[in-house]
Amino acid sequence: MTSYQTITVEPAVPKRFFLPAGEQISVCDPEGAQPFSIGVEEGRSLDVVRSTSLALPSGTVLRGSAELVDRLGVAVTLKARTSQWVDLTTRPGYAAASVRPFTPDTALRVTHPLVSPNSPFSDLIDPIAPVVAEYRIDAATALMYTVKAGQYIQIINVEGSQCADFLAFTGRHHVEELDSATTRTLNGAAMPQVGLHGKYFSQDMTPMVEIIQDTCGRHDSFLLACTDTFYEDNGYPGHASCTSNFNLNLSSYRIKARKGWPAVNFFFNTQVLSDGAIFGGESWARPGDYVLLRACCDLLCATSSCADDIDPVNGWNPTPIHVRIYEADNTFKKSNGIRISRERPVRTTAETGFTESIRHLTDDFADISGTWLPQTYAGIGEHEEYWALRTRAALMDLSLLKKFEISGSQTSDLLQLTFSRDVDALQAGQSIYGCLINHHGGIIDDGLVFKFAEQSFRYVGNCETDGDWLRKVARERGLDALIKTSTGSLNNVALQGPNSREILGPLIEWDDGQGISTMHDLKYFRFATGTLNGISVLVSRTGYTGELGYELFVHPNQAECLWRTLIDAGKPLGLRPLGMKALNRARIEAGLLASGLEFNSGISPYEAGIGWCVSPNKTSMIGAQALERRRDNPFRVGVGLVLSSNEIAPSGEHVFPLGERFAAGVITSATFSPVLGKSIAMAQVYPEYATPGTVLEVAFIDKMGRRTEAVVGPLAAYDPKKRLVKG
Amino acid sequence: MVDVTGVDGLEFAVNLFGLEVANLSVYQSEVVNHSGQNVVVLRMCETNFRIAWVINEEPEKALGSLNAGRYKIGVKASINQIPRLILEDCKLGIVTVSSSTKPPHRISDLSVGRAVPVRIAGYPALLWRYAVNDVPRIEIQARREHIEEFEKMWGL
Repeated sequence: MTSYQTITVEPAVPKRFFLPAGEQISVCDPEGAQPFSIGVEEGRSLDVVRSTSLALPSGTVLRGSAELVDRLGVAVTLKARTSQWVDLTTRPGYAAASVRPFTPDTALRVTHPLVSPNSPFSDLIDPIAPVVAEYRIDAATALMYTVKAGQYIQIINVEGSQCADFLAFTGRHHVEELDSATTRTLNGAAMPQVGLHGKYFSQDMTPMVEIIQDTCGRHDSFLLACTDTFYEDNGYPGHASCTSNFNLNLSSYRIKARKGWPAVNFFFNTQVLSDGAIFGGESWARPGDYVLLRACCDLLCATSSCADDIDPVNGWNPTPIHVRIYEADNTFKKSNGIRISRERPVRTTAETGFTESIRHLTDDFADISGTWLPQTYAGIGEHEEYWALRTRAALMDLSLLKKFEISGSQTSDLLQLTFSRDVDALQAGQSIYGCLINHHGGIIDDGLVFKFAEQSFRYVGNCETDGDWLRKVARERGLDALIKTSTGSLNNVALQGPNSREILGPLIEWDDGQGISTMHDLKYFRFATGTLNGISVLVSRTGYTGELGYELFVHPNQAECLWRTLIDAGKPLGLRPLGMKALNRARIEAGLLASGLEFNSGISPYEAGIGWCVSPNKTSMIGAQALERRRDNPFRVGVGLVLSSNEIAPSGEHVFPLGERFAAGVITSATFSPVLGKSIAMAQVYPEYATPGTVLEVAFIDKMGRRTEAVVGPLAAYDPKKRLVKG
Repeated sequence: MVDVTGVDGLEFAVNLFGLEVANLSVYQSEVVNHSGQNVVVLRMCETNFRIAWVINEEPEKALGSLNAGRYKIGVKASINQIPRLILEDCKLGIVTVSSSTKPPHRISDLSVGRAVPVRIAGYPALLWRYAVNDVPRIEIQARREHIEEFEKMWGL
């Protein structure tokens, strides 16, 4: 049976797909107004099975090529009568990217059969480099192979939903083996993650392999590879097991058989439940998902296709695993696979235009919301970065934010329906903070709306699916509004701190006609465009730190130059780069929300502590009635807490009324505030406990072992009246 | 040398040495005057600090001078007698050539007032660079037998 894969085809990147006879390919322009062409081999044709395009209607036959574009987006499904190649290209339809409003070229979504006629294994994704060796591991079997230090091992899920157990040995007589307890201890994590803590170690702490890419993101190393005992205890004596299969293979290397092998169980979906039980569910792996490992030393490896078919872990049906080996002189970018919605294909961790500059300054990167961002800077450190922000100036890469260009004759109608603030009250050159609200009054996301002109906006939020939501509402309501993702064309840094104005002022040449001639003219939540060292920038007086500051938007191609210019200009005034750890401390002090912590789609702005960002006249907004009910009767209320001890409150834990066993609320974020010299937290508590000055208790250990008093106050412990940001 | 650990370690260090120590990043240090003596305060983590007397102080006397006992909870001050090898700053090059560290730490361009956990010729050590009276120096903290290896290696 053919497996299918859905991928993204980026703008201006031509792709070729092989369609066996009888198979189909589906091409979709999800954002709309993206011209693209489909080309068919000479002498061949494709049947149009389904189509939303008038230019290529259902039931017709495509010969040669077709150019398609539709403002509402196009979706076509084509079927091959004979095996053939199909070419797909997006056509650049628009002017070059700009910091001012523009219409970006956006990606297509393609669902195609996983077949490759150039490979002896035709049911696989293409290799990512020339292959040194490859092995097909049939369902419920195992295989041994060797790799040299530096070579790469790609373990591929051929049909999806399949676990692949992995062993590795090194040293004389293969005495050293992968050891998960050692690995967990040295990494300080349940599983190695791509990045700083990505290595697997032996029992002697020798690095064995390092995970370089992972498109699945769900694996196990707590449990043994499945054993004969497991099947026997469940009434299946004689059932094949990974342990037996490994023993069979390992015997030729004189490695003593075991009753259970402590393997790394790739693609095995396990979870430790609150009662301590380990739950194994169906593998999260899709067809073509893989892990890419780099061998840290010469290895003898074993990989199995797990034999378990008595529960859901392999989708009730073991299928093959494929292993490819690549040469050591390849360079593969480290990445995780990110899946954020059912419709969207997996994408990989992104770098920004600033990443290369930042890499000179630190190795401490983490995957934050699908973007590699620095946690701290070498030779500086979290505390110095933080104090630079609070007393001088700091520079941070915030390109993880998602940007959307919104244009059309009814864009303000769309935003009035979906966004919690009154965008009609905005002037050109003004931005505003608010939330996208769902039908039950919950926050889909928080973000900024930038108004360029009457029907020309940019939305900046946290999540790629913000654009999907806006498009869905526009489509359902029949609104003329084009929402195009511009994230890939706009990177942004934040320059924040008391000296930020002084650093930026001499550098900027403002564009004419904006009423801005000096930095002091750029008021709070205003933005303007200009050039900085020849670089086009949009400067917004906004930030996420609680300090006076600016956010600068720039094309990724000019990001490196912008970073260098700002760092050089800021040196005499004590500018430091700022990592995410210091930023998180600062934003908690400033009472600023984080998605997934202070809000999710079930929490309303009133409960999150930002009820002020629901404009009173938004009666026809989606969720308006629900919001009204929740405004008058919020389930919980967002507050700040100041603890009486220096311990940091545990996030996610409850707070309690004095001396009580029942909870008064929950901690959402917590930190030690250097500027205040206090342990602080953000919490959401029942309204009865939200009055400033109320004394609650934060629990440590097992909620009973130790309790510390905490006083309720404003959400922002630092500058609650926002004098610094407005100054 | 005294290690101060505990949830109130920062408060303790600030009370003793001033607000400046709260500005220190992890593995960052500064020289302060304490009871007429130069001491170097190195932040080991959020709440833990290492206090090294520039001129070797008797451990008990050093500990006593900190008066940690008056803190009811959350601070433990204990003597750390790990051997310390002090070198001239000009030796930094030969030390770093023999040293390696794990990310995110970096050895190159080790600034004055910074420390880093390293392996010198495979032996674990803390490499620390700080200035006393504006004169930079290097301090290596490691086991006695490893210090002896370093001395042999560098012909000291």
